[in-house]
Amino acid sequence: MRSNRNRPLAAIPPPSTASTESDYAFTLTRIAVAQICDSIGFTAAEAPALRTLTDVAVRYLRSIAKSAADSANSAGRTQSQLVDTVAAMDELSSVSGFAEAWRATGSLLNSGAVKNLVSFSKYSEEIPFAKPLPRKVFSIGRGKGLLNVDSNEYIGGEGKHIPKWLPVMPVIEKEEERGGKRKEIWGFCGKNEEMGREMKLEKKDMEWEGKGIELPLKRGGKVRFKIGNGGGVVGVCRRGGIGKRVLCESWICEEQNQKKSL
Amino acid sequence: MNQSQSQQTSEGRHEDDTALADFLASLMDYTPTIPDELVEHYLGKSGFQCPDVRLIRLVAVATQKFIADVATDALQHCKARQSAIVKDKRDKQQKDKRLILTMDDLSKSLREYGVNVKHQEYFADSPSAGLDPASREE
Repeated sequence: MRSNRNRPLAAIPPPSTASTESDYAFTLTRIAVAQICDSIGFTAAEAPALRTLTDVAVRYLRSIAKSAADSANSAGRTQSQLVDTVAAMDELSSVSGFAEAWRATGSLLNSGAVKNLVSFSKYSEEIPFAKPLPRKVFSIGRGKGLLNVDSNEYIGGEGKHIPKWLPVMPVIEKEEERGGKRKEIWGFCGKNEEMGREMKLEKKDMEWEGKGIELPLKRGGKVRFKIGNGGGVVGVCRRGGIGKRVLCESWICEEQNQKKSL
Repeated sequence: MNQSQSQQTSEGRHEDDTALADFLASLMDYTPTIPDELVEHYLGKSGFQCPDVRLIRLVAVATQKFIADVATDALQHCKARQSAIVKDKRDKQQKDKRLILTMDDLSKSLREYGVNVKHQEYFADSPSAGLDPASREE
């Protein structure tokens, strides 16, 4: 890498992707690309050329990922598989022509891109990255949970996976069982109103029980509710059009009317 | 006849599959230059989700190979240009034999891979930019 000592720093244009990508990742990629160039035989590289090559590398990676993800999504999967990756690599290497048509034969290894990769990994020497990187990101679905994640950023105990910056979970209060029904009230959702409503409902229950009117367990025929004057006996009144239901004090079915008439 | 053919193809497929599995297993021992974390970062950004490390390694190796191919082509361009200079001026010993990755070589090699790199002609990325290679010598 030739150092540009003669030029002022301000004259160096900002890297094209570094404005959108994180600078850190871009810088790391540049180091890796520089290592590859070094292994090829270059002794130095101009800064803009290296930046361009890094940009191409990043775009190559991202287009492989996007193509593979699209392929997986169109197959109805969320996770990409080997097929998607190989298809994406084939697609990207299609500029130089399809070496082998693996789709026709059905075997993945018949793909020219994969065959080239096999020979590349076999005959090229390994150049590990200059420095080991700390893994700060989540391992996606690896099943081992978090790897080397800074423990200070997460809540301990049961909520190990919950980062501290998230708001606290609302407290769920379990009330005593009323009438065989267990009721849970969310801490922040208007507890007083809820309580008031329940009290009203309970009063109604008491009234109904006092009058000795019960809903039939099995409804044999059609159940009709009379609207308006039910002779002081009939129950659910509909006032003010459809959709508004007002509970009246008592109710009666048509069946009971029939019984009375009989 | 057809059965024997299908048997052969199925055997061939089986061999290919085992070879592929071996290759993927060998990737676990191979350390690509582009670190896994970096590849994971970029893949995750583009919506690629995969729990398998081998696939991430595969993508890393593919990218490494692509960059290495481009750089090799650029190196050939560089060498060819330098040898042309030497041919022109045989009497002069070439002072600078260093192989430097330049924008010209890179754009030439990238064009073969379908990437059209254009930079301004007047953009001076180095003090000797825009000059002829011959005059660069002087």
